[in-house]
Amino acid sequence: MPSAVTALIADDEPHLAQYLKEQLAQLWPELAIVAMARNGNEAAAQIAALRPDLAFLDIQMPGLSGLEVAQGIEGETRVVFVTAYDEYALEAFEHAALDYVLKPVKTERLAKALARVRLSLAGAAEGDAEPDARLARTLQQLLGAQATGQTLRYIRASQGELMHQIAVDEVVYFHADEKYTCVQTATAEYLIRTPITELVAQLDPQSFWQVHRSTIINLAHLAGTRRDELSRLYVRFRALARELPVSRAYVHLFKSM
Amino acid sequence: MNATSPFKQAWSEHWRLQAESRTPLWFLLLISTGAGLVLGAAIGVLAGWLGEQLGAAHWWSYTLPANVITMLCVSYTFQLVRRGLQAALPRATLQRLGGARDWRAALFYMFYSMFCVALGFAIALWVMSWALQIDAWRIFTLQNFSIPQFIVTSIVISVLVHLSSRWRWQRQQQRLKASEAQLRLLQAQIEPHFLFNTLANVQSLIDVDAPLAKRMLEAFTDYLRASLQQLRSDSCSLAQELDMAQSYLSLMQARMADRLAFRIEASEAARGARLPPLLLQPLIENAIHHGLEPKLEGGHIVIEASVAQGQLRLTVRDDGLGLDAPRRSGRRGHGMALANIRARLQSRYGERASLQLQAAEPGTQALLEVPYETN
Repeated sequence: MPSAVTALIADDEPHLAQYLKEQLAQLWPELAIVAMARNGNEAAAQIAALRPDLAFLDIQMPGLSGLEVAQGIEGETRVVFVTAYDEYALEAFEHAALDYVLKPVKTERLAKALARVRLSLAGAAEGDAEPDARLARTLQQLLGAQATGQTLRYIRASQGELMHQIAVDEVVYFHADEKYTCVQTATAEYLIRTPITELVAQLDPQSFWQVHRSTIINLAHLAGTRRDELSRLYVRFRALARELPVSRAYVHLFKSM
Repeated sequence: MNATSPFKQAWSEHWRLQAESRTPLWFLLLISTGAGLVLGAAIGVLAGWLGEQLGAAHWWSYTLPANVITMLCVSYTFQLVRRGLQAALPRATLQRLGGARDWRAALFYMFYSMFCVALGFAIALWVMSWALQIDAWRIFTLQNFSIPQFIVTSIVISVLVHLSSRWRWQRQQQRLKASEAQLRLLQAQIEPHFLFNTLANVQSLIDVDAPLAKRMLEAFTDYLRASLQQLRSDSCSLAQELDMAQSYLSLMQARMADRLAFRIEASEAARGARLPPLLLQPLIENAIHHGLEPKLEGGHIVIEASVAQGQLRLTVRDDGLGLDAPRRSGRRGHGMALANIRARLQSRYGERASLQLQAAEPGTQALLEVPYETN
């Protein structure tokens, strides 16, 4: 029997976080709440540091939204969304059979969600990547990536007085910074303002994969993957001695490789 | 859907083409008969009065029956032609004609009524020849009747009918628009995310901090009641609007805890000002939703009201994310609330009122100026 199941609660409204904690204590006494995050950034950092088995994420939070936090999870943490009302999200969750709980939380509904979570934790040793694939699709859809029908062939980046034109085939990966997106080629690095969510919609999905909230990679430059001792997955590139993490929602992409 | 009496419904159906009949046939026939009798009698009385033979034997035996027969025939012809067209024309065409309010529909109805009147007259003359045992056709041609006159009269009546129905229709559209705008305002006031999160907070506090739960519920009730009252009125006092802001902000403070601090400052003169309802509230909600709620450490919101040079000056200042923060998904409606306020200011005050949004360091400041009015 593995050690106790651990969980994180992220909600910017402290009364609600506290209430969820109490409800969880009643319904699942063995569950250990290892952290209470008050915004999306804290949640992302604590999930990375503590790697809980479960994360209860509010959707509308200061900093990163619950959806963005979910898109950046690198370990094995499973997500249960907790939200008051998000018309589009709820529809998408329902459609993709993702776990979610509505606020005000009803004990019965929470118990049901927990039963499902327990079932999937018990049987999640290996194999079924379908739930993660659904999560990835749903998050991409909700975070605004919609195919525009136009495929981007060149990236234009200005640097002082210069404007560089970079063919997308040359790009090894795109990586989101605080404000900019870094365009990495085998030899150089450029900064552009287009966010990842917009780029992913304009790039050919056959050659470019989003593997993280902040990363899109070019499969043509991919050398392989590495799994670390904490079973986190990283992608490696031919021309660069650098590794980038793959978030849980996108690990399934590499399972069939 | 406006509730019309079955009589009104049948009356309008009697004259206008409609895709489907909602009135039973016997009722329509009753209406046709009634219309024919009343119009015929009225015209008969008018003709008798004009010809100074009202009540004379000739009037009783000829003028009155002739007019009643004519009008009955015209009325039945309308009914007959209408039912014929309804059976013959495709449904889509009928819907277009029934719903149309433009000149083409007016033209159609003009020819339609001219045709029905002419046919009705012809039938009436034939019926009279048989019923009153007279040569009605000859009498008719002897009277000084001219076709151009008939056509001109028809056109004038058609234009008048068209204009009046168009006017009625426009008024109905205007009423519809006004109630739609009110509905949108109401929807914005009880935004579901706010509603459910507030209720969730009350739920979470009932067991652990009952007094706070009670205060929140009271503030929420005050807020809802004030919203509903203001929606139904044309103007409110600034004091009312500020009370509402107070309820709203104390609710948000209970929810956001140490992440929100607020202050409301208003002079006595300002508190007595009258202004259109719900001008200030959307500005405060914007400051919370776009400025403070998404900011990690939260912040302050300050509301100030003063009177200077005949103008009421309202400012809503927050030290939140500011105007050029990247737009976040799931937080919509920023521009809509401002556009709504500007439109309402423009229609009520014209150039004498203004709303400006400025970057504050840090955060955002909204400045609203309206003429100072009390009563």
